[in-house]
Amino acid sequence: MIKWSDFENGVVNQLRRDIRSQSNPDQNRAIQAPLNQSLFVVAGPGSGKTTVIALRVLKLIFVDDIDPSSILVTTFTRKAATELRSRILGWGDQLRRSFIANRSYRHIKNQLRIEFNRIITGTLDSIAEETLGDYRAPGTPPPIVIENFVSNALMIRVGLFKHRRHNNQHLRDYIARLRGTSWGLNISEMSLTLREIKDRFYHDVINISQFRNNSNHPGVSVLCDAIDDHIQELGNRLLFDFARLEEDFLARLRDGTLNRFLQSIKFVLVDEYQDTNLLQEQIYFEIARTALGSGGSITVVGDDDQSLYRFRGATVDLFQAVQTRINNQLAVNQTIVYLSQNYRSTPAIVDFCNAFITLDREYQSVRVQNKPPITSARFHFTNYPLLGMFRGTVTQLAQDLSQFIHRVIHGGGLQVGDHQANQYLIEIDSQHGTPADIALLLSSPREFDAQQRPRLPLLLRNELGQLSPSIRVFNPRGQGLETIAGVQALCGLILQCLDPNSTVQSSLNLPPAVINIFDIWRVKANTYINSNPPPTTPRSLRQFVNAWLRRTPLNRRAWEREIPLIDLVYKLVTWMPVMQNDIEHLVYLEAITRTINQAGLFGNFGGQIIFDQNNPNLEQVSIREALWNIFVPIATGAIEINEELLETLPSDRINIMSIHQAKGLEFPLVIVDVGSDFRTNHPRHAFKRFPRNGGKTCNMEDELRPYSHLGPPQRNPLDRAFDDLIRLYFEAYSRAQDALLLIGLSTVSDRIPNVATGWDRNADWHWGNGLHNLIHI
Amino acid sequence: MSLSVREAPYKIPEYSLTGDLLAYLTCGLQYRYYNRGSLPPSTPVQLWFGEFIHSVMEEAYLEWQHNPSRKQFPWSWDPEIRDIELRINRRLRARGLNAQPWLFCPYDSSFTQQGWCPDGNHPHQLIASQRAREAINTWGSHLFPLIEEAEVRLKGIQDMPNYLSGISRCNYYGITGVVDVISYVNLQHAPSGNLILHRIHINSELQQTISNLATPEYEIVIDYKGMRRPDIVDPTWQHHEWQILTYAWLRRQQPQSRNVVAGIIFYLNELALSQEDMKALQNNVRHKTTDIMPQGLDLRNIQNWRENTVPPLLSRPFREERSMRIVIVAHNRMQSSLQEFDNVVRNIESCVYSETVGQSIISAWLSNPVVRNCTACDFKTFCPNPAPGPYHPTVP
Repeated sequence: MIKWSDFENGVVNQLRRDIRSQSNPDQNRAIQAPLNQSLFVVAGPGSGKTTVIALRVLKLIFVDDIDPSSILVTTFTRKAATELRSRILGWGDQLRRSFIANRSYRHIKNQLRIEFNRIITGTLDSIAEETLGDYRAPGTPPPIVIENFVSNALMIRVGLFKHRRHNNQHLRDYIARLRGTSWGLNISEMSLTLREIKDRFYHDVINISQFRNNSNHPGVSVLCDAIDDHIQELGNRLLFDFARLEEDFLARLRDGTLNRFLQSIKFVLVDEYQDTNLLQEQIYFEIARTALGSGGSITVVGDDDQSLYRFRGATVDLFQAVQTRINNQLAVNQTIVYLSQNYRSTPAIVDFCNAFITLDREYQSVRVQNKPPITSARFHFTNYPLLGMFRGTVTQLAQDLSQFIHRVIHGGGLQVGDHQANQYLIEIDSQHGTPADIALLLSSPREFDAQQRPRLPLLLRNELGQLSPSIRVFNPRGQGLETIAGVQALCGLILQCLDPNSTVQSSLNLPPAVINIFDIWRVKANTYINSNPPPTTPRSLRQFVNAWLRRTPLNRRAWEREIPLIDLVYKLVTWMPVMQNDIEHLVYLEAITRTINQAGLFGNFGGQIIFDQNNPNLEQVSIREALWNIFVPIATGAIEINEELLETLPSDRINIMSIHQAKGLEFPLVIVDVGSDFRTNHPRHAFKRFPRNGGKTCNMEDELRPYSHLGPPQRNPLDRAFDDLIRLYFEAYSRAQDALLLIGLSTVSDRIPNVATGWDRNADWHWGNGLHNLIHI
Repeated sequence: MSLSVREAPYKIPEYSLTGDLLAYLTCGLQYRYYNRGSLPPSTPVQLWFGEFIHSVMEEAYLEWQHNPSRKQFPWSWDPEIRDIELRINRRLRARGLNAQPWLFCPYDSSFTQQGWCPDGNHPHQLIASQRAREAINTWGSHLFPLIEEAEVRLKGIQDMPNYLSGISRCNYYGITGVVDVISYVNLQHAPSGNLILHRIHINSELQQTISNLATPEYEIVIDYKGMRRPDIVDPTWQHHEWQILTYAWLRRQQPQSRNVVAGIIFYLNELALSQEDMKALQNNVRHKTTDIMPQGLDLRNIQNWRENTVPPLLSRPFREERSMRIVIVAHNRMQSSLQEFDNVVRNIESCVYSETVGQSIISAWLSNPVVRNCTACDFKTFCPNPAPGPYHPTVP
């Protein structure tokens, strides 16, 4: 439809992206490749991957004239899918307008009425869910995908409590063996491990009967029975978890019921392929087989150095061997394209990342062969030296780090000099800069450790809050929902209304930790009631709660038979302005009401409390169900907030997040915590810095993979653990655009072995004692 | 030189016609809580019935399409329609949506206990079932043969109104909708005796449009509403027209579309009125605020009906006429509907902006005090401006 040269000109002139071969040969090759050319794109960090994918899709539409609905692009997260889709829609419209304005294309004006929205983009799960719904047979329901906590509750109920499997010693022994310890092996942890194994059954396409029959551990058959019961229960309730959704999708692709969908696809592009698993690979190959048969192609994009999700079942080997696997199974040769120009980071940061990823000799053997180093293409920005801040205690570290951040934001900046005596000023842009230009990345953003001791994120938040002007932080995963003051008061008020004397609570065999949290909530609720919050007329909060306590109607003639718990929540919010007005608290309120709603999926009362004069026992039973299904999950930290709902949060706060959360993001100043938790060389946290064994994830791989077509892993568990740690910190360091600051305790800068500070697995310390490759501040 | 400034990710905000634009027009603050904040309603009557009736109609169409024994109408309520109802109810329950006891009987005849129902004589044909039965048997034989596609997702993008670089979130916004049915009519093969086509073809303005078509074929976009026909003075009446016209515009953007000439809205509650619906109809008739006025016996029955008694059975032609609304699709009407929704997007974006610069939710989003909406709203006890006056929390 449109000549390539006109398309290229449009991209360069309208979109301001220079993709000409003389300026950017790699991107040019990837975008210009013909429709039937399958590609293997190895895209280093910051290499303009989204740009390349969006422009390749637009090239297929404008130049090769293919129908947008025949293009399927999967991304790893919904956020990435939204961004990619927005790029395609926005740029697509800009290009279309420019072509319509071009006289040579006036005659095809109607053809240029392209509906870019029909491109299929999304995560594999969202595409599976939508496709299974769209192409379902009469009488069959669209899939209903549940949240983790619902799946977890069902696993506890039918997997563990049924036949009292939670007390089965064989099962407990087996799970302890996989975890490497029996420490902390409570019901919740057992359920978590069972669900991880169940997911691996699906992801690695395990032959379960072989696994059951061949294993000589007596716990295995109990485990398989528990998982069978869980799967059965999901089926009975028409529910799907993500693993089951993908398995069903594959089955339907193979049995012919999705042929109409398959036949519509000509081009398949899979992003973040390094984090794919065998089940997903089979799905992609099924779709690609039809696409190739229709003259189309498959493109996979990824970077093995950024593979982070082994613990969720990802198998990076599938990426490294993709060309061979596609050749063997689909009989097609993929052309390899390396995107190695990095548009994100300064030369200093790029050099640092290159040095880091190559310092461990053992690691080089598992990288994609012949991969070129990344090269910086970020010009016209200050090339700050790499920085380090190491202190004797975490408290001191938090104080000094907060001072540093404060100076960068409000204090005129911080002057630093490099080894060549060049001077640099680190400060945010005086006109448009905000605290959101800064991110602190850690292995975990939690504010407390397992022993409830404060960690750096909490200490830093407190320090920043005390400065003048104070600086707020954005750390949605820092605190458990159950520890947030507003949530504690609200949950406590609900408990006080439903079960004022803890009668029902006492009749349950609740874990002591849960009882403790319930008690804290009730205390918080009473304190809140005592504060006599407005409105105090015509009825105060105390009068409202007392009416519930006495089961006496207030402003009503009679007590109702069924009372939706959500109705009680909204009424209580009348006295909690923070829940009505504050964006973050509204998100917490959503999490509570969502839990109530979802608990209805596996309970008998649908989130209602029943007061039946003919059957008074129903009151106790329905309250008991509410405590178990709603408040225990909240108290045990099983409920996650929906971070997407925080989109309107002001940008007046610095970001604190895990390295995993930072995937795909970039910030002008990135602070990476390489060791604020490591006071000693203790084995307990060795897996976070210098592993001594493969840990639970590798144990599971070794246990299950012999029963998969993948076969046992080629690499030993310890090496896999080191490989993953190297990838994790490569990901962290490569998020920085202008400045990168490594922080930790002095112990990690002067003695404790740590992959993140330049140790290789043979215990050679390449950066050396004192970390003199950094400028210390 | 200082640090660079972090670029916000490029994201085109997407607005659903029903979930965003119509919801915002009902009340800005309620929209912020229910829709943007994802807070669930405490008693989701409307949500349940809307999902139920849409799913029943879709499933009935699939059965009609694939099962030769379902080509004849009327269908019996039990077992033919009842089987569909129970399947749909099971799906809704699986999603956490439970029917109110007065709306739908969830039991089959094998269940002998009373359960949620007034007696153990199951199944009861309650109001949701009556409407499902009437909807299928009134419109199924006319509608299903015309269906080209069901549950069609429509999407488009528009320039962001009042776009300001550095302030606006994006230079575009997306607009999405799911149209229940796209009907296709080829005049050379049009089925005879079809009530829907008859009503289309007796409309003089549409006659003119159809006779001017270059090809003897056209499309109608159809939307089911699980509600009564609104008064003509109720803003909802106008909002529904904007909605269907925007669907028509979105459909016209699709390359496979063919001459969208009309939209039809089916107000399915009109086929079986509840007491509340009857009360509203009586009021409309009294004030002459409805476009389809009753005549003769229907008029007398409506005028003489007393509250808290069983509504009278109105004549079939009257119910059919009230349950179907034709909206003529024309370029200028579509453009003015888009303009209306542009204004809504502008207002929503302005509220979003207020939040991002630190305003509290209640001050950023305006409420729209309308008694009918406020009485059913979960947030009325802390809304700064509810109608008719302050609401206080009750126990229970």
